[in-house]
Amino acid sequence: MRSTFLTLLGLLIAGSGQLTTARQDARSIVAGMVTQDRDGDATAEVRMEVVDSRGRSRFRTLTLWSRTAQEGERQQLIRFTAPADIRGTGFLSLQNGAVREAWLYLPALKRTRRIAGTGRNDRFVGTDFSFRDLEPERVDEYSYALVEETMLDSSAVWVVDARPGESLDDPYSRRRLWISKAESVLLRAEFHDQDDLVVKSYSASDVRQPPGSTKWRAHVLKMESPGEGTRTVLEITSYLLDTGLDSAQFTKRSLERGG
Amino acid sequence: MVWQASGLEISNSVDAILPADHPALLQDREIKSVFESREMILIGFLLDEGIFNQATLQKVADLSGEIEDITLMDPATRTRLAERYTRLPERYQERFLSAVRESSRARASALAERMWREARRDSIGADAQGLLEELRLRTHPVSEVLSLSTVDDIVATEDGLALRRPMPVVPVSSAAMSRLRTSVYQNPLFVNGLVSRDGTGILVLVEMSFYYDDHIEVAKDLLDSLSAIVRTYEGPEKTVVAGVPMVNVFTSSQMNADLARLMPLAIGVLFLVLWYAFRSPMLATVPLVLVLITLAWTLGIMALAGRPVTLVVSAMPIILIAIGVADGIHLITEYRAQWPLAEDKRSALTATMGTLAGAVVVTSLTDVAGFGSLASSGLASIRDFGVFTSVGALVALGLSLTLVPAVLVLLPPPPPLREEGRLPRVPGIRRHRRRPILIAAGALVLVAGLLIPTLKTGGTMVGYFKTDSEIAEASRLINDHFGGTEVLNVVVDTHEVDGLKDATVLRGIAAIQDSLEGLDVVGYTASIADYVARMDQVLTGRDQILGQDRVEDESDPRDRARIAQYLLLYENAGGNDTEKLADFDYRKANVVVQIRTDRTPILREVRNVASRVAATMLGASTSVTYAGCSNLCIVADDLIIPSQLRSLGTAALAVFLLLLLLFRSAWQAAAAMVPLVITIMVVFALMSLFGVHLDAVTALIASIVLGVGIDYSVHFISRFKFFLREGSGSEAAVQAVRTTARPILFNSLAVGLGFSVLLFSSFWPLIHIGWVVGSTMVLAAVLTLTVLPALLPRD
Repeated sequence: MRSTFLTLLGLLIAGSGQLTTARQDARSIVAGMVTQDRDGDATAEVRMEVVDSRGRSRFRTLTLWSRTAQEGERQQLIRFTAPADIRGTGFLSLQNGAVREAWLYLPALKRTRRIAGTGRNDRFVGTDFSFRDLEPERVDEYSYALVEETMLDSSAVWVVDARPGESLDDPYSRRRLWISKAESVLLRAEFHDQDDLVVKSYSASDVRQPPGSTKWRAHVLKMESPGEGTRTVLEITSYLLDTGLDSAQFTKRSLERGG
Repeated sequence: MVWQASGLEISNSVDAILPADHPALLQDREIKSVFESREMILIGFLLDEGIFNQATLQKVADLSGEIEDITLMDPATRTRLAERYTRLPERYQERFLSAVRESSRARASALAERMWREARRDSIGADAQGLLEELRLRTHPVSEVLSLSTVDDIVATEDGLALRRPMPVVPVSSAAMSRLRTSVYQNPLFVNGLVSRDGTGILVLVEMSFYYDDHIEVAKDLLDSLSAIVRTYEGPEKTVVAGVPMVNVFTSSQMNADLARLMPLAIGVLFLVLWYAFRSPMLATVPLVLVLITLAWTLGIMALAGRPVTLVVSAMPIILIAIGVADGIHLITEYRAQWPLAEDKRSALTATMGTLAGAVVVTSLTDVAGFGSLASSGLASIRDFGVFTSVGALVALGLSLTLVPAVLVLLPPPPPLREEGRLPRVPGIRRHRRRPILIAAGALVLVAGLLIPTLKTGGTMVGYFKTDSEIAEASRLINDHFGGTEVLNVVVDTHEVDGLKDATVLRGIAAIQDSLEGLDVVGYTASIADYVARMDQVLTGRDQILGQDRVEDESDPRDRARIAQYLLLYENAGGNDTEKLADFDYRKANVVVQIRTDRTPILREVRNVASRVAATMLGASTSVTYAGCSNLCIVADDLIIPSQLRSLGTAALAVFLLLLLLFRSAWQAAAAMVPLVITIMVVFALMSLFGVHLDAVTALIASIVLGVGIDYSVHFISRFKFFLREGSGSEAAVQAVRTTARPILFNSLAVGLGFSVLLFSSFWPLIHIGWVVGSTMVLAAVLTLTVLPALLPRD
């Protein structure tokens, strides 16, 4: 679902950095990161670059608004701003627990359409992110193990392995997560398939505090698919946190109001 | 060498026919890689009562699933691959073995893929990389299966839009069945693409994960495996497997079967002829041993050179048999003539070689000139044929001058040639018959000249098979029910990013499709324009951008945004079927055109229609190129006539120069060419008269006739010059006819009989070579004995 993209963007963008210095168990490290990510609301300008296996790039820019109304209730609105021919195209995603609904607005038709779900494992808008990759971590459905505490570039990190429970239809047998100790931000992730091969790898950089906020955010997010030779880079050019967005900004009417 | 020959690759795909560096072939590969498209294998279920029933659709779903999970790792293959693990660097060996033994396809495939990528980065050497590549392909030979249970349909839902499989589960109730039927026929992309218009046929399309020509053995295994799986689904539906890869594999196996059947047959026939001629089975085996060694060497050299055996090349063994036997006939006939005059075998042989060595060398050199000139051909298979037949002629020459006398020394003395046998009673050519002979020859030339312009050109692949063959029937059934087995890719390049989002370009593309679909032979087309139109229909209920609901003729500026947003929506909904129809940044569109025949003249007509419409409907900034098997067939075909004329011209010139060198008389050399020129004209006239198309294979006939037939003139003029020392030209001519008539006629009959075994081939072009060469060799012999003396000076 489109909404999952927004969820993850929101997750990644809204990830907050409560300083955690004490040694913790793996589950609480991840839970801490997730909980803090979901706090508040965010408005971000995003520049999206999709690179195909022959090294050719496709650029799009979009604005993303996201908000967590209460636990498990996520509201997200995305609107493309460039290239010109898709300017104003919008997606609205409302998630309430397990129920998720998504709408699409095409300005050329001046019409909103509800979008039926697609698979969680499908690619999102031709990017290297799948819908599942973009969903918030479901802490209860995975088991976590702390692998080591080490340095990644110049950041101290926890390295955590996440394995799905038996019942999950998860394409990844294991994900290895690098979470910064200082900011509690996911800096790197490797997605392993059933044969324990790395099929995708995620990395985040340019971690800093958006203006007027004490939270830490990565501003450049990259997902690579080594098997396919493709990658997607999301660069956040403007970040505003906790500006007090309300529910009225996440309706079909606001979707249709246009860019 | 025999062992080397066992490594020969047999392939007659159009890729193997064109030279590897031909621009059309390079462009074809480029386009295929941009759109990641490969040739499809078409599997059809046909049922007259209609395929919309639970049992048939369940088969389609089951088969699709089974093929998606296909692997080509039978126990023998596992053992064979496992035995080769030492070719890999040590760090791969253990993983390689475990991947080879792995029973889960997914896991084996993932392991193989990973090793292959790793190895490619490490550059471990071609041999080792090839081994990993084979494992990778065998564990994942199919990249995509397209059927109603696997493709995406763009559908309108109550309040929105969805991308979903037309048949996620097989309908049980009749209501669900009729809903499926309705929805399938509402999407024009499915009609003739996946189901027949009348509902009596349904397709499962299989795309290989590699190019056929890169891995012919794996492709064969895949197709064998597919055919075996499909057979288990047979009945009451008729199942058929077709498509270009299938035709290629069928051609290869038939070529194999042909060679296995025809070569022993040819050798058997010639053995009987030689036995009769020499009155000695022992002597009869001598030329045959020569022929067998020649074949082993030539095919071995070919395997070492890494050249594939194409249909054209498969005619070579028969020709080498004819050439090799001819040398043997002359040598042994002369040996038998010399034997009664000589003291012992050794001196009889010395005399034989003294008399004939020159002629044997020259006739071999004319063969080399005739066939070697084909090396200038634009078609790789004809080039190979020319080069390796020349090599074979040289090998045969070497053996004739060394092995044959050596063996004859060891054998018991030959039965002597009886006098009346050596100089048979043939009517001498009298001077007063000169005029009628020349008039008759002139009339023959005139009639042939009138027939030649109606000669048709154009190859085919399926059409090469007899109509009751398995592949011909499968192709016919698929072509009757669906869009067609042949694919032409019309590539529209706008030369600018997002150029395809221009509505006028999409309308141009749609216009090309409309015109093509108006042709009887085109059963199906698909392009990015179809997807845009479908989205338009589903989202707005109308066909505003491309179709009849368009208000004005001018382009609506809003169209561009609409198209862009539809495409974004499609991607966003997880659609990826357009990847094969438009490139990454929407510069180029790939219009897939399915055609119901592989006759090149018809394919060319289809391509011409596309070009004409493109020229009027697309702007000057947009260019159109072509790809696909159909296009390569047209390109190959276009090369044949100019390249054949050039080769024939070169061959004629080379032969003439050789004759000039031998005879030291321009007049004699020119006269020697005349019977051959007339014969070649008759060859083309016969082909025209009997509707034999000039194609890559039948184009060889003229060269064969020249190369083999010129020998008669050489022998004749050699004799003529010999007798000229003793008398006048007219007497010499009569003597020459008297002494050469029997060997020349006999030789032409032997060659004709040798070629006639091609009548038992599975391929029409080889059958044509068989009867045309068989009959015209005799004509060449007769012309040599009549027209040639008439042209020589009297004094």
